[in-house]
Amino acid sequence: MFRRTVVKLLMVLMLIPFASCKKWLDLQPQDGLTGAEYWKTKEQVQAAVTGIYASLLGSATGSRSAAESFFLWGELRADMVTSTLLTLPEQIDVINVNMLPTNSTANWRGIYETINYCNTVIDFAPGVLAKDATFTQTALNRAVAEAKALRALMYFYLVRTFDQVPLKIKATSSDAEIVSIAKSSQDEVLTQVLKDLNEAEIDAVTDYGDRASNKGRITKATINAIQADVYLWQDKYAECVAACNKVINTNQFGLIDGSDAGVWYRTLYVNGNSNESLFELQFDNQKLNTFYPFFNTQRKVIANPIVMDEIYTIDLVDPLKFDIRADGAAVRSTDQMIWKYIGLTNTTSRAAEESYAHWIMYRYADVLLMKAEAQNQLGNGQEALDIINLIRARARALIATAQNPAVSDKAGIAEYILKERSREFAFEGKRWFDLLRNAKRNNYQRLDLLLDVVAITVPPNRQQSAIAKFKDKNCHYLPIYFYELTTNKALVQNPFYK
Amino acid sequence: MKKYLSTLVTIMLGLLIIFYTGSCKKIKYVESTTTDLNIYGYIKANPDKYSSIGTIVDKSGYAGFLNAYGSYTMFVPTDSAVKIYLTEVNKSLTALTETEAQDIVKFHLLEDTLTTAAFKDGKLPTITMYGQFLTTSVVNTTGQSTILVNRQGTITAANIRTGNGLIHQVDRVLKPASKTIAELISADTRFSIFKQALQATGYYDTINTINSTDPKLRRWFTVMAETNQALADSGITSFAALKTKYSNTGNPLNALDSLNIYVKYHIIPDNKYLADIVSASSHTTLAPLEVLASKLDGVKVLLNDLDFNGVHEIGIELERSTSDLSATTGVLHTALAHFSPKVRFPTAVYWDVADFPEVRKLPAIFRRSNFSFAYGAIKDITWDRTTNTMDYAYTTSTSINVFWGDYLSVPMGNTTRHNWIEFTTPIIIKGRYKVWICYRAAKGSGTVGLPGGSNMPVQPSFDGTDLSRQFNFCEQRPNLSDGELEALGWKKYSPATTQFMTGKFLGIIDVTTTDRHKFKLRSLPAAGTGNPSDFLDMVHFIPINENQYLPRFNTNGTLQYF
Repeated sequence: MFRRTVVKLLMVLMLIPFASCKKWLDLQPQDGLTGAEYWKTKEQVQAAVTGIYASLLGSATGSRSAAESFFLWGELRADMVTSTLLTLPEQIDVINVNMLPTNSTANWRGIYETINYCNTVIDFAPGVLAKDATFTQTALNRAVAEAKALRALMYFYLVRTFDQVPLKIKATSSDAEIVSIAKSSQDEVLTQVLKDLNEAEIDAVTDYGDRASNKGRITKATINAIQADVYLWQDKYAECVAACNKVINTNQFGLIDGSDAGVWYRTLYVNGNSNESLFELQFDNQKLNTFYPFFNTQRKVIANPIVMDEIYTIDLVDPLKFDIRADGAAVRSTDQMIWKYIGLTNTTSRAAEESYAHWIMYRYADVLLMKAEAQNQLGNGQEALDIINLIRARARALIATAQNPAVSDKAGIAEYILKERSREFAFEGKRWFDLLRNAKRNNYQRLDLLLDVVAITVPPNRQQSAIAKFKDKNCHYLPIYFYELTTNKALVQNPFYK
Repeated sequence: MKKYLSTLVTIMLGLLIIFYTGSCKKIKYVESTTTDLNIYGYIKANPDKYSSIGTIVDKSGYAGFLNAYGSYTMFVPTDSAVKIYLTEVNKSLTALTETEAQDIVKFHLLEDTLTTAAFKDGKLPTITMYGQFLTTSVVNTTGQSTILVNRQGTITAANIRTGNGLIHQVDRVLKPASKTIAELISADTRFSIFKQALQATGYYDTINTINSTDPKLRRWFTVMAETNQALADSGITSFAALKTKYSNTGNPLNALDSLNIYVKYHIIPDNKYLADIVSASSHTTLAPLEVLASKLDGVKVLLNDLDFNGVHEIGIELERSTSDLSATTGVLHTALAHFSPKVRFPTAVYWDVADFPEVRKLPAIFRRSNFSFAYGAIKDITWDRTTNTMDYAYTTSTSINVFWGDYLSVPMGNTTRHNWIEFTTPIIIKGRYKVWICYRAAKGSGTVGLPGGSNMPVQPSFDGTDLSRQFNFCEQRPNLSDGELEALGWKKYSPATTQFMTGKFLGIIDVTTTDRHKFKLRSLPAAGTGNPSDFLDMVHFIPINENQYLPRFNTNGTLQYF
């Protein structure tokens, strides 16, 4: 009797769901928003754009943060960092020119994630115009301009690091859109980069109205700076100078005064968003960068001894004469710690929870030195030298690092600029790209620049192999990570790593 | 009972069904734990490339272990490589004997898994099963860099992972060296004078003999042969001239004859490729207690490139292109200049321990201010990490008359202070020395010179051997004349009159090699908490027959010879 009752009860209960839920075939996920439900208001567009910037600070899927990738790609193979006992074996392999495709330093995943966020905004934001009446065409253009500029910047990093990369400019928003794309040549990618930048330049904002946004979001000046960098990479010097002049002529930027080393360091690197900077990744106390453990507690890399010995040098007689960019700014010379992201002042360190030094993408000094490099190649040596001297005077560079190339000595001035850039942008993720850009100019005329680097950085028992490897220009670019090769059959490995 | 019966029937029926179905349809069970191919399997699975080496492996009888669990690295020559090899040795694949096949396979096989990332300039870290090392290098031809193995074959596909190891595909069959070092030297007319010197001293046979068939027990040699041109540059144009110059006993076979020592100085009793030579700073040779210093200067490998007492001695370059020649008895390198053991006489080393490169790089600190160095920041000083820093200190105090005004503040003790500190000394020329420690005596509690108070006894050691005397940072020198002091094992190393400035004799040492050595201070258990700041100023190594108490070291950096 009891059992029968239970069965009846259950049967009745079974009916309840059908009766109560009308949408019983609704397959919408319960824990997220779908594309069809998103992209309806201007706030959502704004949130998506902010998401692109956020993805540069740290990946939502656990990939390496973009800032860390930029550091690894821009410094590890160059001559200003060196390994410690705690350096990961695969990072030592990068330093020793021993990379295999299984080396995760070559994992570009985080960058493509950011690119996909950009693509999503570019593809879907225009649809909001019809749905949200308060969303204006100008606001849309601005959002798309920001996304395009960031996408261009990401691809620019990728081609400089990998040479040829797959060019994906459509959003991947569903499984059906996952396609295998073959690599595009460096020229094709750079053409797209410039197209994006030129389109973004038209609509980009010059002033967001607050300092954090002006330095933390894409502005017209930032776009011009990226253009200058791309043109310089492509050896298009006149275009580079023109782009630099656009930034200079805004009269909104200047060099931070260096007469007090402590104030200079605090303004430029500790507080960040200074008058000198164009674009910085805005780490803050809610989103720390990964550099505190990387440089301090875990000491994955330290500064190469040549940074103090040869690049900045020391005045052994007068301790009051020093390059303000050296000890206590770029590096702590007593233990070679990379100080730029660790120091709260010239001498005291940040605490772990204060590790939010911004990652500076472009600053005014960079624009000036890019202009100098281009002017020198155009034959205007005097203007290049004037800019170098301006930068050196600000930094109180030591006489020991001064060079006196003749105004007509193009090669000599180019080398001087390269050296000055290494002092000015120490550990800002630019050194390797500077070296490679100078080495590859005029069909690898200055390949020796790179060979000299490995002669210093690679341990003696691997030095000869490393030098011979660097004579192969494919070796200057990283391999495609093995995981990408297995998931995208259209990709072909960089021939050096086959 | 009935119940059991029915169960039994059920089981039997079940079994019957299984048997019947089993017999008519085979069920495939997976017996292997993985489908990954092993090295042998991989070779066999790619007959389009590896059929010839597959045949050779079959013939060698090694197919079994190459297809079993293990960790190997095999350089696999392609079919075209084997074809080239067979034409060279003028044989057909079928005519290869089992031993020949075994030798080929063994020379291509290492009992270790080495990816190309583990390759260095020169020999691989693991020996082949054949018993000779393989060398690797990277060459750049027409803009493309490739890895060359044994200077014979290029790797055309690298790091192929198989179940029991790695495969690197090579485009040539690798051939082991067949000549001894002596035969290599004989074959090269550039070494004719050096060869005669080897023969005259009897070392030709030493490097010509394979002294053990087991490669793991074999004694290897590394010879730095001088070319005739190198000798001619030093004015030696014939063996007769070389003999006249060196052979002081007239009998080069005599182990004490200088020609004999000259030859021995060119032989390192180990298998050292250039990469190994530059990886260490000095190498012992067959010449008793004579070391070859080595270093990498830019890309050049230099021997004996040293600074001695402020004078730079230009090093001897080893020519890269003609060095690293593998032989059955070791390696041959080519020296581009003439060199022989330097006759050096013991020279006093007045070592200011507070003067090291790391502090010199801090102009605001060096001889100006104090600084605490973190553990690991000073290359030539290590210490236990109980206290984490090494304190460099500077003083202008008129009662602390240390040399240059700077010293190392090294409170030693068994509580939270340094238990030991180890220094690498400057180069000391071999010979017999008296060792003196120079410090400024001080006590944390109590009065120096009176009993009681703090106590800081230290045991010094040199190259791991304890010196005969201990010293105590709290102990001052007696107030006596220089002669009396020396007799008691003290000295007045500073011109200052205060007895605090103490030099104490620690013992006599025999420095066996002209090299940098280890000097270590170890606190003794008798220590109290130690003095909070022990003033370590200098260490003197003075040849036993020289004046032990002069010069004296002034606080302004000058030396006083009276």
